[in-house]
Amino acid sequence: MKILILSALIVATSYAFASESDVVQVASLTVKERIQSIEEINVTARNPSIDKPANNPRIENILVEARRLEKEISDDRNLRK
Amino acid sequence: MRTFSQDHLLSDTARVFWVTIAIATMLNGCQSHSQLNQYPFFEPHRLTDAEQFSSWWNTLNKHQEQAEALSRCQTKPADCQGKLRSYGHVIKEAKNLNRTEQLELIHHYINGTKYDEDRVTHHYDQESNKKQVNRSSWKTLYDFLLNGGDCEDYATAKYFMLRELGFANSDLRVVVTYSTKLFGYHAVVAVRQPDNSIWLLDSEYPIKKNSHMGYRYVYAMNEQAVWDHRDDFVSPTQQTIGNKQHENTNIERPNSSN
Repeated sequence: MKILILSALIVATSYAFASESDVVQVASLTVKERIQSIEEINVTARNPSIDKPANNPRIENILVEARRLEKEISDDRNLRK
Repeated sequence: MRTFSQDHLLSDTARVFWVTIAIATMLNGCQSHSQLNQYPFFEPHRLTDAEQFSSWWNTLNKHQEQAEALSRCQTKPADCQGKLRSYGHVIKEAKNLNRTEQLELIHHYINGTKYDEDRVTHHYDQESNKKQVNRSSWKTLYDFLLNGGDCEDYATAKYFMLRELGFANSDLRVVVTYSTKLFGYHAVVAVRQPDNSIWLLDSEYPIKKNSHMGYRYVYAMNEQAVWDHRDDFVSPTQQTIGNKQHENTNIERPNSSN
C-alpha cells in the first residue's frame, strides 16, 4: 500500500513540475526549425499577366489615369535631359 | 395501353431526367473538389508570431519606417517618380469604391508594375566554398513601387495596399503555395470576405473567387502570425497537453457561435 501511495505521489509531482515546460520547449524547437525551413524556400519568379484591361470601366479609368501619371514623370525627365 | 408516341415521350423524359442527374452530380463533384482545395483560412495551422519570421518581420518594420515617404507621395505626387507618383491617385480613387472594386483595382494596379527578379546572394560554407543562395526577399511597398519586384513582392504590395485601404489584418494573408501549374513556389494574397469566402489574388490570373485548384499551400503570414500549411505540421498548441488555450488569432470560423 505504501509503495502504491509513494508511486502515485511521484507520478503526480513529476507531472505537476515537468509537463508544461517540457512540452513548450519541444514546441519552440519545432517552431525554430520550421521557420528555418520556410525561410529557405525560394518563391518562384514569374512574370505576372500584366496589362489586361479591367472589366469594370470605372476601374479601368483609374488605371488609365495612373498610367498617364506614370508616363508624365518620364516625360518630365526627358525634358530635363 | 400506351401508344408509340407515349413510349417515345416517356423515354425522352427519362433521358432528360438522367442527363440532368448526371450533370448535377458532376457539378456537385467539381464544387466539392474546389471547396476541398479552398485556402484553409480557418484551420488551426498557426505556427508562431510574425516576429519569429525575421525576413518578413524586417520588411514589416521597414514598411513602417517608409510610411512617411509613401504618405508624401500621396499628398505631393509631383515629388515622386513613376509608380510612386500614381500610388496616391489609386489610393484616393480606391477609397470611393466598394470592397470588391477595391480588390479588382489593387490587383490590376500592382500586376502592372515592372518585374524585377530577386538578387542572388552568396554565402560561404565551413570549407570557405562560395555557394549561391536563392532566397526570397520580401520587399516593402515603397521599394516595390520604386524598383518593381518579383512574384512574392506582387503579393506583399497588394497586402500593404489593401491594409492602407482599411482591410483588416485578420482578413488578409500572404500565402506561399506550391503551384502545380507553374511547378514552383508562388506567392498569392488570400482575402477573407465578409461572407467567409476566400478570394485569392494571384499575379498570374484574375482574382480567384471560387476555384482554388492548382495550389498546394505551404505557409502564410500577416502582421500577426505565421501559418504552416504543410501536411506533416502539428501546431505547437495541438502538441500541448493540458488546458493551456492557444492564443487567439482573431479568426472566427464560419458558422461559429459568437
